[in-house]
Amino acid sequence: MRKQVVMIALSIASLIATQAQEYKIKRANGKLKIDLPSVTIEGYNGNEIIFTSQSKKAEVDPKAEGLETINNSGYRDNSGLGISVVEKGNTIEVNEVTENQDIKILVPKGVIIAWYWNKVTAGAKAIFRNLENEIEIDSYDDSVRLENVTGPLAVRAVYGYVEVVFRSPVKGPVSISALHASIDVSIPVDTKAGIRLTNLHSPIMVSPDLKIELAKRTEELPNYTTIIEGKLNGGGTDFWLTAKFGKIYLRKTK
Amino acid sequence: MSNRLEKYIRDNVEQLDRKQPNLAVLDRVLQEMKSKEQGKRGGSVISLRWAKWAAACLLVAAGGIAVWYFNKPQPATGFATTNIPEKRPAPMPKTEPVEPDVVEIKQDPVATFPKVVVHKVQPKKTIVFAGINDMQSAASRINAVTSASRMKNNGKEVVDALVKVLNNDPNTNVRLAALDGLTRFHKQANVRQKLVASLKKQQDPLVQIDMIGLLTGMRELGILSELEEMVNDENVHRAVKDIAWTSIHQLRTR
Repeated sequence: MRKQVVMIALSIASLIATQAQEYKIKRANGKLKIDLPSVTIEGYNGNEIIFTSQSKKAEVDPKAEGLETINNSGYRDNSGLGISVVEKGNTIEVNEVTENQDIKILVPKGVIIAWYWNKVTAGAKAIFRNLENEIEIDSYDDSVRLENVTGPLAVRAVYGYVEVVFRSPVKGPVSISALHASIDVSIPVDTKAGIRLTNLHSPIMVSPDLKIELAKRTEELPNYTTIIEGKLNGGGTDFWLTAKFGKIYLRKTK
Repeated sequence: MSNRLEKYIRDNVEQLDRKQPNLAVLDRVLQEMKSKEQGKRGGSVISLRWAKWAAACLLVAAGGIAVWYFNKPQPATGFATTNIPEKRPAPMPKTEPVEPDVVEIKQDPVATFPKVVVHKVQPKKTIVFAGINDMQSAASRINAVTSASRMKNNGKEVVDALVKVLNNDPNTNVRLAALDGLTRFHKQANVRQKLVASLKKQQDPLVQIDMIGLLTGMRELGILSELEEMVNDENVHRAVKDIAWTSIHQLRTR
């Protein structure tokens, strides 16, 4: 019975594998601007940007052969994945054409990532992994998770939380700003950084293993904001975390 | 016919080849055959039920591969064109002829963008962030802004440049860095004026909240009318309205 189950599982897996769709572009540097609600972006050692749909494949419409889906904004699905991929100079722009697509993008490590999504998404997530170049993020509603990244990093989030796990060497500047949700960041203990943690209405929590040498502040203006400013391991790259209503957690990378 | 053949064989049986091998040789051959048969393992019997399952799985997998093959998108032969209008290039800052006195600004070697430089222009000593509008990288612009803010001999020129970034840069984190730089000059009358004017231009709640906090700390009564407009504006973010309302209260009661 067990063998039968294994064989069936293998068959189903092979079916799923054959259903995955890909779209590739030869590009190992430049900028990739992504305007998609739900996305997973991973760095790898290659020279192609590879887009894969993780959504269930739509039924094939024989009448649609040779045609492209086009949306309100004029974006055309030229990839077959429900997204538009267009080159503009040194930049590749990716935009949503069909709603609710879940796209995975493999990116060569020399490519700069800029991800924007400024619409309500009901719990969508953007995930970034294994990236060694600059990442720029602008999120309205999505939660954002970055794993095994080095920076530089510029993140702005309105409602979604931001989680970042850095690995050495952390490259600055790092600037993360969140309005309503929390910022949870892990950094290696040996990171050399000029730290500034700012929060308007919520606590700031820091790992005792991170020895921040606090700077003396001269408050010339009345200020209702909590500001922690200082040097970590003698100072270095600018490392700014700014929250208004959510907590800030600064941990050491495990 | 066959009777004739049988009769012929019977009549000529003595002439047929009826030679036998030497008995010793025959014995040895028979012994070898017997020992080989003894060493041979019995064959396994494959259940017909198993064979059916295996065949079914193979069929399913083959079907999947066939579906994938006939439905796979055509390989991209190039980038699609789009009817989305090209973004107009950001206006370049007006600059006087630049003399060769160039001060380099620290830049991390992570992105390959034009070198960030501050050009000192004679005789007005106007400092502009040469190339900042051309920088695709938000991190490079943050570096340029923070480096200029920290220069020892900064003055009106740096203020003008920071105000320009505060009003025009597309990235929230870069605008926040510019606002932070301007905080150092809050005692200057022209900075106060420019901050008040800039508050009207800001749309991002994170920048709006920081600006309201700064101007309220500076006890700038000139923003009261703007704050009242914000409180009554449907398009202003709820969190900004709350902060604006608190600031109105603080400015009127002190």
